[in-house]
Amino acid sequence: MAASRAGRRSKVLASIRPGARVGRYTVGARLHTGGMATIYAVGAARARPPLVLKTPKLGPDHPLSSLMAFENEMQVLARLRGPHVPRLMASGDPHTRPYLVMERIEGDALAQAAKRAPVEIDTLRQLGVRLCRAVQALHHQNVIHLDLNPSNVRNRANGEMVLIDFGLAHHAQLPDLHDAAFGEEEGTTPYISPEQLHHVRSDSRSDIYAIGAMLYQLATGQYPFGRPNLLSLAKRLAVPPLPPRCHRPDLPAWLQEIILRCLEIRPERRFATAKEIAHLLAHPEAVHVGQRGHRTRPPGWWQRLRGWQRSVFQKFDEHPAPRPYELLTTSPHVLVALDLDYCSEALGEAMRRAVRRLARSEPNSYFTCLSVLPAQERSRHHAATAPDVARQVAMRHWAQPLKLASPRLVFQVIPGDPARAIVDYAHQHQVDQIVIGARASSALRQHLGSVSAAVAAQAPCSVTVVRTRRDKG
Amino acid sequence: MLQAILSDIHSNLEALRTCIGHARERGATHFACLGDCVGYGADPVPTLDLLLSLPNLLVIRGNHDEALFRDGVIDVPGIRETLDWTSAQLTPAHRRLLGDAPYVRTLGDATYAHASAHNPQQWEYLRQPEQIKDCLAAAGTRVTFIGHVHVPMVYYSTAAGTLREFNPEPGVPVPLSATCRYVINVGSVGQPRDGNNASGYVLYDSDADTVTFFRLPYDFMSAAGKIRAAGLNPRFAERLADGA
Repeated sequence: MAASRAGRRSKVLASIRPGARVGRYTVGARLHTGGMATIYAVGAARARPPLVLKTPKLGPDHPLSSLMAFENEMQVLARLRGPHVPRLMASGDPHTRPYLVMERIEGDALAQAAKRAPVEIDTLRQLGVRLCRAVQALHHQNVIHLDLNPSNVRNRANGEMVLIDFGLAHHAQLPDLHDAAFGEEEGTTPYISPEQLHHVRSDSRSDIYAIGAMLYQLATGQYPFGRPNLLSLAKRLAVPPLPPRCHRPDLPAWLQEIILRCLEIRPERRFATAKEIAHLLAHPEAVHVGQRGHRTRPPGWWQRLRGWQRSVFQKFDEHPAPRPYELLTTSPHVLVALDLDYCSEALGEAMRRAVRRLARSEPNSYFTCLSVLPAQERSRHHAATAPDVARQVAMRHWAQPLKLASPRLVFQVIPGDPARAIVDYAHQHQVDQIVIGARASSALRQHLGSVSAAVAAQAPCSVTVVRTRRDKG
Repeated sequence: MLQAILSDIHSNLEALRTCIGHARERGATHFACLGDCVGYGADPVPTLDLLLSLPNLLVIRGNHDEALFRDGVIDVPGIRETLDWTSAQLTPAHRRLLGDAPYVRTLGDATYAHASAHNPQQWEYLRQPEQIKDCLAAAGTRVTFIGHVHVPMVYYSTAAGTLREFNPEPGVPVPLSATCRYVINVGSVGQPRDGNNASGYVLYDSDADTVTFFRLPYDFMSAAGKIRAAGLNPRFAERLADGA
């Protein structure tokens, strides 16, 4: 039966060639032949949107895993929505007529940048933020890509990144069809994470590792572990990569801090979410630069020896990784809106209590203390930067009793109208929760308007309005 | 065909009504009951009457059902008394329904059994890889539906022969690949035991080639109250609250 099925398949595939009709589509020129699949243009050149057709490579010369990858991609793509994945238009039964017709995404800005790397820091930040938004959107839908590399990251005309090729992807709500027993590669060598080498396919932080490897490449023009070979695979299980500043001494320490945190050997030491990376790339001044960011030399012989020794006994599958969506919800980005000029000591303490409760109940949460400086207040001062600095000082003083570890807490002062600026910030950085204080005095509220009420009404997320007790009489 | 697969109802009328109503709303045309229709619960007669009214019904024999007719299947104190109490109330139609039920049945691409397609009369609890492999080998079909353990789970063997398990998410259709083989534990309608006290069943869509697990809240307080009122073992009532 298997033989007749294979025969049928190869007949069908033979019929998929330029000029043939598949469903209501006409197969166009061959665009690309990869290890597992062939991609053709579809239909007239002016078809909107432009489409491509993908078919797996089958037959005696090709492994069964190419069919598996195809079925996997079909299942995953059919369940994904939004601008960061190609739209799936049609598909054929994987066992009788395997094909996918999907949107053709032309832009390859990231691949081009990777080719000409090292690139300008601003270009890297822009590309990085967009890449992270696309990966975040994927994880939000419980999918892990597991083969992120510059050729699988395309972009639309408006710059929005689109992730393609879901042959190796894992959907946390579906039984995984991939099987290491087929002996196929489980990713692309320079970007593959240590846990993938241990056949773990359920950790969304594997994609964070790949983001780190791409940022490393964009920053330095080098792969994190040198030429892709077996040694480079073994190295990533044992030692951190050469600090990017060894390749490019002028690289800012904050950027190296971000890159090396993505490339940590243990998934739990990396960023939990892609949006946290996007947030820091957009606000480098908020990055807490630790020992990682300041490294300028390769790891010493003692560290290397310890690393190799540890790698022998290292396990990545002791505890099942949380599903991507679960990891997102248990690693919330909390925005603490602070207006310390109008904040009583009691309200300040009540806000600290609210933040402390969140920090304890969600150990992976991280906090941005935000102060909005209205335009009229900036102009009231002679020295242009003084009010910003004063706010920073006041916020840090307020936060000190919280005793939160530095990377979990960043401080920002931004200009604008308070309520709108807070809501915009929450939109832009996909903030999960806002903590804001309510002004106690009704005279002040009447005079200034209630910022907390406006934020609660317009915010894209949960809002906790903190208030000191007001009893009647 | 859209088939609702129910198992381990255990005379829990409130849970069964909830599942059947839910399945009918979704257009289920066929029903399968994978055994253990009785035992534990206090509503054996209305439960079996409701089952008898279902269209295109397939009933498989469970160990509690068999214990109504044969000694030595279940000797656990408490359960034995409940079964005797149940047996005294059954009509000939009920006895025929349970007495004629086969241990294993194959329909099209799927096999239906209570505990396992392999040695079904052993009533083993399928959890270990070796047991799953035996069940797959005995069934011969691509999909086997079972119950008995009271915990919903998908076991599957890939084209390369690796055995895996998958914890299904309620309400999310699980596509069945033509290259894999499956043992699907549909959970329990009337006595869930995975820490979630919601009633569980599966919808099998043979056209779309998917199975969807559902977990439905139901009035377990009434079901528990009836168990206590009938003077059955109060432990059977308590475990409905915590799903353990």
